[in-house]
Amino acid sequence: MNILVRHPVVAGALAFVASASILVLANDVWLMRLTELLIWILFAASLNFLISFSGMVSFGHAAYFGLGCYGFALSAKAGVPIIVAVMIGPLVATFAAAIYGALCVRLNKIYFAMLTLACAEITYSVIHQWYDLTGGDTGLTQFAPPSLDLGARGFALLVLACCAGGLLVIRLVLNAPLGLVIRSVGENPGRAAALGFSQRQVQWVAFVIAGSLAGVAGTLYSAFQGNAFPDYAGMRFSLAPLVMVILGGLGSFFGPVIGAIVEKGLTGVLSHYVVFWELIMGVVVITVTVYSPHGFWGLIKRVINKGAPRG
Amino acid sequence: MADFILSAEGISKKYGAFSALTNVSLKLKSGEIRAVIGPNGAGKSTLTNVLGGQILPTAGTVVLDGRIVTGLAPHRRAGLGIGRTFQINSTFRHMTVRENMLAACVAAAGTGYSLFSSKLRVLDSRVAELVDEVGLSNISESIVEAISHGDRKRLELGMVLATGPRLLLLDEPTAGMGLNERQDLFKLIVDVVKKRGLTLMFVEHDIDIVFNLAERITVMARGSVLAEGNPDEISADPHVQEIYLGESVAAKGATC
Ligand SMILES: Nc1ncnc2c1ncn2[C@@H]1O[C@H](COP(=O)(O)OP(=O)(O)O)[C@@H](O)[C@H]1O
Ligand SMILES: [Mg+2]
Repeated sequence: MNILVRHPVVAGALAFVASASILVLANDVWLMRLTELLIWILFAASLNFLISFSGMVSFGHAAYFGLGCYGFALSAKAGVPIIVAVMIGPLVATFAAAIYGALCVRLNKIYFAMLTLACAEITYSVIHQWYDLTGGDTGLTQFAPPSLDLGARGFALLVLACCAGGLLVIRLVLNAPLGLVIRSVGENPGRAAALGFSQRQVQWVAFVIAGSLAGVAGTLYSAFQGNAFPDYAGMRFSLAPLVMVILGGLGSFFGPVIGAIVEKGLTGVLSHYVVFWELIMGVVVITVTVYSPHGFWGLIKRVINKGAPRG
Repeated sequence: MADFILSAEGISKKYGAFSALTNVSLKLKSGEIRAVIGPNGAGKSTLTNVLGGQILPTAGTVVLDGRIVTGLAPHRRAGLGIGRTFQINSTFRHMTVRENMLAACVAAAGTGYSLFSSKLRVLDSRVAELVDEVGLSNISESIVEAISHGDRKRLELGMVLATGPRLLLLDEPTAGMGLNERQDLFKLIVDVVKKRGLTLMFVEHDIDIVFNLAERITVMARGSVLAEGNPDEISADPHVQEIYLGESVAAKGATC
């Protein structure tokens, strides 16, 4: 087991093959659940890239998710071929992240967080109010064939490929000079600047990468649900990946994967059986934050390392 | 004027009604070794921060190689050849010693936005060399959080040297280190400075080190420059003796 922690590439490859096999074998209900879960993993991983490695806590990551949804949904509705529309979604999100990002990275810490929140609220309001274009609260439906005509299983595998691809992109960035510089700025902007790195520029690049990956997740979500609602850019959708990142564990690459599984699993089960399920979720988040700052992934790592001889 | 790599003219820094610096001027000749001394709160760190770009002065100008850089951001000044260490050690605490040095080498190589990890691998031998230069090769895979204070000071210095600066600003580079360790580190600093022909300005409390190493000394007190000259002139200055040397010689006597 230790080898999985030591060699994330091996772990990732195994996880990919295992996930693909599960998707091939899963029944219809589980296929749906797992497809949605994979989208959430990608969304949470994009936010984790910002929080854990770039030192930027965003309270408004749903803006890019939501714009991914609407970029795709609106262009598909306008008659753009689906294959092009699925690219327009992430592009719109990337473009928005480039503009909002340029504004947000001018501030630090909590001020940065508040600004990301404000940007997301503006996005939500525009989507919500621009009735003629977006249909407001009614949302958009029937803009694309169900599962993009790939069948539920085919679509699930496409989502898996995108999710794995997104994680791979994050991994490659982190292993490249850019990743080292992003981590440096995230950890100690003063030192990074004194070495010659521009804090704002580096943070902007990280913000755009995170935003575009969230846009991919949003596009997939919209295609999966077959609809687009203003809520997809709203507070709840900003909060959910934040909870996943915290549950999974800050500062790790696989944290958001575990976090998304735990969050979706818990909310799925709890909301089914308990009326005050959100209260219980809150307690779980608090417990994890207090007793295991490195989240469930940190817990798993500790268990694995205990079973293995120390190096 | 072309002789001066750096000249600061009429620098003042106010925090509300309090003046941390009042009309400070300082010129560094290319290749000189300058010590800045003075009691705590004299404004030495504030001045270093004004020169490095961390603090914007309330008044005055900073000129680097004949170019006004007063409002220029720190990363741009680094690009122009200013390398600095901080009084309070500033490194990447959650990374290994090697990664810290690697980040500095990436800065020097200008490949910070590259997406190719091969651009990191080509720096491996250089990084190992630099880590060895500051005597940290036996702990190069340690997380900085876990290494000693002295080693962190060494690492920070090594990182700054790795960026290939022409002007070094070192704010108490050996603060908190043992006597032998301090002398070793200063020997290293001076060796590198001489070998590469760098200009050095350092803030230091150890009078022996200052008088042995510095070619010129700037004495600060209460936000102003009290005196400036070569070691002989400074040690002969009655004001300096009274305000600074007397007190520190006495303090040193007490610790011996
Ligand atoms: N951000 C600040 N706000 C208010 N006063 C400050 C600030 N930074 C430094 N000072 C004051 O300015 C004076 C000079 O500080 P400093 O340059 O750190 O002195 P030195 O490095 O010579 O010990 C001190 O009295 C210090 O308290
Ligand atoms: Mg100081």
